[in-house]
Formats: sequence, structure tokens, C-alpha cells
Amino acid sequence: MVRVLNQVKSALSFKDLFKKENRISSTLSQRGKKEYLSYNILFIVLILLTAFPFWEFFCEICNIVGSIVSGTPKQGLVQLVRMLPLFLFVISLVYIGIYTWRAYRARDEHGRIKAWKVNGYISVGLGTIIFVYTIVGYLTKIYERFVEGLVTPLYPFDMIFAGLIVILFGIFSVVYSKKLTIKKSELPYVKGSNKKIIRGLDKVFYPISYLVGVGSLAAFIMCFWVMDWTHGYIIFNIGLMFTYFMAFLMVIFYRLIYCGLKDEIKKKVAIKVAVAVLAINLIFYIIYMVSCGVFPYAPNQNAFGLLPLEYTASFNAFWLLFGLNNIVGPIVALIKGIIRKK
Amino acid sequence: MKNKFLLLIPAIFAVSLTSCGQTVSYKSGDNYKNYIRELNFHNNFNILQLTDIHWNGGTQVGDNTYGSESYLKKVIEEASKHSKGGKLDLIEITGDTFMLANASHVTAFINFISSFNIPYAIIWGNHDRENSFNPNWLSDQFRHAPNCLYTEIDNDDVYERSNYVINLVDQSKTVKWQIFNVDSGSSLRKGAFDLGLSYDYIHQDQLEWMKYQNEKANNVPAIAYYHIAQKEVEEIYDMAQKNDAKVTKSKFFKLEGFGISDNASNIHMNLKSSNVKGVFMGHAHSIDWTATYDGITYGFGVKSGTELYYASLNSGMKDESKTITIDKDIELIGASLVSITDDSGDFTIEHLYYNELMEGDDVRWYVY
Repeated sequence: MVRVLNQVKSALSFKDLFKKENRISSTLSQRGKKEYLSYNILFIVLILLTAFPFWEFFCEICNIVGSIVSGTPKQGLVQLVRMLPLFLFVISLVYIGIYTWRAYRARDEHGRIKAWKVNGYISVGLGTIIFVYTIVGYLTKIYERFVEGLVTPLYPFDMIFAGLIVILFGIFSVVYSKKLTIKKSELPYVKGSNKKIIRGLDKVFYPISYLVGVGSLAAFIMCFWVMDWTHGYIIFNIGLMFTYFMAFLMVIFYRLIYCGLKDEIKKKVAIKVAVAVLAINLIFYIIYMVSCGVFPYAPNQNAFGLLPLEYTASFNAFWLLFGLNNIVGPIVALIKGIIRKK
Repeated sequence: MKNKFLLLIPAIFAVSLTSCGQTVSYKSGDNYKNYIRELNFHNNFNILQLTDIHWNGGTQVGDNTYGSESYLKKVIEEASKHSKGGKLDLIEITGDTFMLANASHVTAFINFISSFNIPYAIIWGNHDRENSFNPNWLSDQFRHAPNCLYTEIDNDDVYERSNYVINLVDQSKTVKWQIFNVDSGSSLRKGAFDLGLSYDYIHQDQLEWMKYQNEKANNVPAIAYYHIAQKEVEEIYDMAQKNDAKVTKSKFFKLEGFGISDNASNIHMNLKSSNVKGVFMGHAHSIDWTATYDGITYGFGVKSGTELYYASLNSGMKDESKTITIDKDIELIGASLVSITDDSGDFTIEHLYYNELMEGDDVRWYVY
């Protein structure tokens, strides 16, 4: 504990995280800088584009699973058939978000090219299915009209464009992978751990926290209009809202700030960052938990729509999921930092 | 100095917790008239109960020529045709009208249900709060909808939102019957760390509010509508199973658990003191079981439509009273109809099972 505190005190300040000389971009050529910036912009665009469809996807999955477990799978199937383009679109967006991260964090040139190429083809396939399914759905009367407006005001018509976006991104991926074989990427490769299990865990943890972050962004934004701010229990609202916000912020911070640091700087700040994130997360998590304990009706009155899993499945999942993501996550990072320091 | 400042943080947090409870600024007793809506009473006053419609993100809306809207349209038209006098006087929509829905579903539903030009009342079920819109926005839509009687008093001392009364009055404005609309809440959270959530229950302040309203209306007979059955209903069912003489009638189907709260509300004695003669609920899609116990009839509405889940009634199946035998495979969906006979406290109940089949619609009415 004393060692951790000493390391926190002696570590670089938070301002140092943003200093040019501490960031990998300072070592890059102009082309490398452009490449680095493009990855970051793509990440922001994808997370913003995915947030609300992902939330809708999650809610509809709850509905469909609800029908199946309640003994009416037929009803679940009816919904699935109608919602499939949306589901595939969300799956495609999440998939693109994860494979572009893997391309960014590739261990070598071959890995980066392969990530763009193979996943590009898969994206073209997914986009084509969305595009064709929507048109066939209209022709076969799955949809009565091209614009029924249920999930979005233009559904399922907008899914044609959604399919096209995924196809175009897939084509871009394949073309880009070919370009990389001619003109090598100047973005540094990530050595990562030599241990297979650590690499495996990294592959699992990032997608999970990415998904939680994407959903949390949608939930955080929805707090402004779905949450009831007139009924009292403001302390609960703040706890829930900022627990969601921190889950999103963690992904943003990790991807845009932490991953952009030089390796030697990462080693110096890892513990301090983990302690700071843990402390902030704990404050909001404790506010949420204490307010739930003191005011057990606050979630029902103010934020029913923001806790879909709890209310569709009568399963008090939020504290468990966000305890794991917002509290256990930084603790694991802290332990990892301490071990690395040793 | 810095340490002292740090000590202030938990103190400020504790103070903010105590000052951040529910906002209550309206006393129901002093303002009881604001909870009341009125309709003209006549003998054979027909109330159609629709329940657990469950419009969700995947439900086609906005055109009542197909899908869920078409089905509800057929049900309402059939019930109108079947009613004594050939018209419905009130539609009661008893919760879970929406689930994980969005604003377009609410707008489409209001346009649809208002188009019948029949007064309607709506109460909230557990899932009605679970949508991508604010619960106040939902309330406002129905407060201002044509033909809708929905009333909600913000920040009052009666638990939850959709608590209001419809007084059925004669030409001299004397109240003859009361229709209570009661919000039975959503979930019950016993502790911050509990993994399972139970269902909410009708709180004592709601039961006292009903009693007060009934006293103000000179203790006229009343009917209550709410969504989640109270714990005592399970006891009545068990008594019916044992042929207890206090349960004078037990009919229709019970094909799943009641989905009730772990907390008891002492509902029966409280309803008796409010002169309630009949209680009609929703929530459990596969139950339309109805029983009369100690002068009060407890009935579950027939689920209206196929959204989320519903029960199948297989050929040869018998109901609780063994007086109904199903002759072919159908689904337990439709509506239920209460007809208030006169101002003596009597009413009749009929259940409509409405099935859209390939060979044509199968329509059947069963009398309680």
C-alpha cells in the first residue's frame, strides 16, 4: 500500500499525459501522424454511430429473449424477423469498432494488413445481407411499407443505407489493406505480452468494456430526457448518470489518451491513472449504491427506462455489471501496474 | 486544513442524501376533487378491459389495417356489438401498454384508441415506465389526449402516478358508482445488493386515499382497476383449490404464477372498507382466472394481443370451474367486459377470446 502511494506521488502529473513529447505521435512522420489521427477519428465516429442503435438492439434482445423464456418463441421469432437488419447493422458496427482497434494495436505488419483485409470482406458480406434482406423483406411483406417508422422514423428504409455504409466501409478496408502492402504503415506496432493468456485476456476485455462503454454513452445521453428530474431523488440520478458516464469515459480515456502514450510513459503513469479512475468511479458508484439503499423506490420513480435489464428480467444487474466494469476493471489495471513496476 | 476539508466531504454527502428524497408538495386529502373525472351513469354501463398490450420497438404501428392495431380494432368492435345497448361506455387499459417502446408508439396508440370516440382510462403497469421517453412525457400525452380520462397529480402524497377516480353520476350529478384507477407500481427492491427484484404492491396511503374518496362519494359501490395482483389473491386461489366456502365462485384459466409482490397489502379488508365490489387486474398474461371471495370479485383481464407472450388453450382443456371445455386449439387473448347492471352494486363479467385463424376469426364469449 505504502509502495503504491509512493509510486502515485512520484509519478508524472496528469498534465504530462497530454504533453506532445510523451505521446507516440511525436515520434511519427507526417504520414504516420495522419494515420494515427485517422484511427482516432474513426474510433470516435464509430462509438457515436453505434451508441443508440446498440441501446435499441439491447432492448429488443431483451424483448425477444423475454418471449422465448416465457414460452412463446413464435412471438420472439416474429420480432427477430422484423428487427434483423437493425441487429445485423449493430453487430457490424460493433465488429468494425473491434477490428479497427485490433488493426491499430497489431503486433506486426502482417497482422495489421490481415485485420483490415479479412474483416473488410466480412463487413462487405454483413452489409450485403442487411441491404438485400431489407429489400426482400419489403417484397415479401415482412414490412408493409418501406417507411414504417418503428425503431427509427425511417425504419426499415434507413437500413438500406445502413447496409450500404457497412459495404462501403468493408470495401474501404480491403482497398486500404492493399494500399498497406504497397506503402507500409508508419504507425508503431504493439509488442504486447509474450504470454498467450494475457494476449487472450486483452482480446476479451477490450470488446467487453467497449460494449459497456457504447451502451453507457447512449444511457448517459438519455439521462437528460428519459430520467425524471422532477420527482426528487436527485442524488440517485447523479449516481446513476455519472456511473454510466464514467464507463464511457474509461473507454475514451483508454483509447484516445492512454493508448497514445509512449510505452515508457505508460509505465510511469499506469498506477496513478488506475488509482485516479478507481477513486472517481468509487465516488459515483457509492453514491448510486447508497441512494438505492436509502431510497429503494428511486430507480422505479426516476430511471426505469435506463435500467432495461433490471426491469425486463427482474434482475438487479446494474450494480454487478458496473461494479465489475468500473471498480474491478481499474483494480485489475492497478494490480497490473504494480506487477509491471516490480 | 486539507484533512479537515476532506472530512467535510462525507458530511456534505450525508446531508445531501437526507435532502434528496422524494418531492411531496401536494396533499391528496385537501385536494381530493382534483383526482376525480366524471361520466354519466346509466343501467348496463359497459366497461371493456384491455390489458398487457405490450407495444414495443418491434411492433408495427401507425396503420390500423394490419398487425396489433387491426387486432385491437376487431376486439373493440366485437365488444361494442356484443354489449347491452350496443355500445361501450368506457375502455379501461390496465397496464403494460408499452414496453421498451419509443415516442412514435405512444403517439400511434393515442391516435388509434382515441379514434373510437369512447372514453378511456389508462393506468401504468410495471413495463410502462421502461421506455425511451420520460414518464412525465408519457403522462402528459394521455392527460391531453382526446377521450382520455387519465389524471395524474404531480408530487402528491399518494404513492406512484396513475391514481385517479372516475365517478359515474346521474343527471342530478349524484355519484352512483366509483371506478378506481390505482397504480400498483413496478418493482420492489429490498436492498441495494439484492440480485432478484420482486414486484411492487399497493401501498397503505393509496388504500387510504381510496377510502377517503369513497367516503366523499357517500360510500357508493366501486370497482377498482390496477395492474399487479396483490399477495392476498394467491391465498384466495389456494382457498378456491381447497373448495373453501368463502370462495363462492372460481372460473376461467390460471396457467402461470401471479407475479405478485413479496409484500402483503391487506388488500381485501381495505377494499371492503372502500366498498369495492370488483377488482380487475392484468400483469399475468396467461391468467384470466376470476373468483368471488367474501363479497368482492377478483378478476384477471384477458391479455389483449400477442405481444411478448400469451397462453395457448389446447383442445380438451378445462377451466378452474370445469364448466368451460376448449374444443380446439386457441390462444388466451382478447378482452373482458364488465357491465354494471344498476346502482345496487351488481355487475356481470364476460370474457372474450378473440383469435385470428387461417380459416377465419374465432370469436367466443364466456360468462362469469
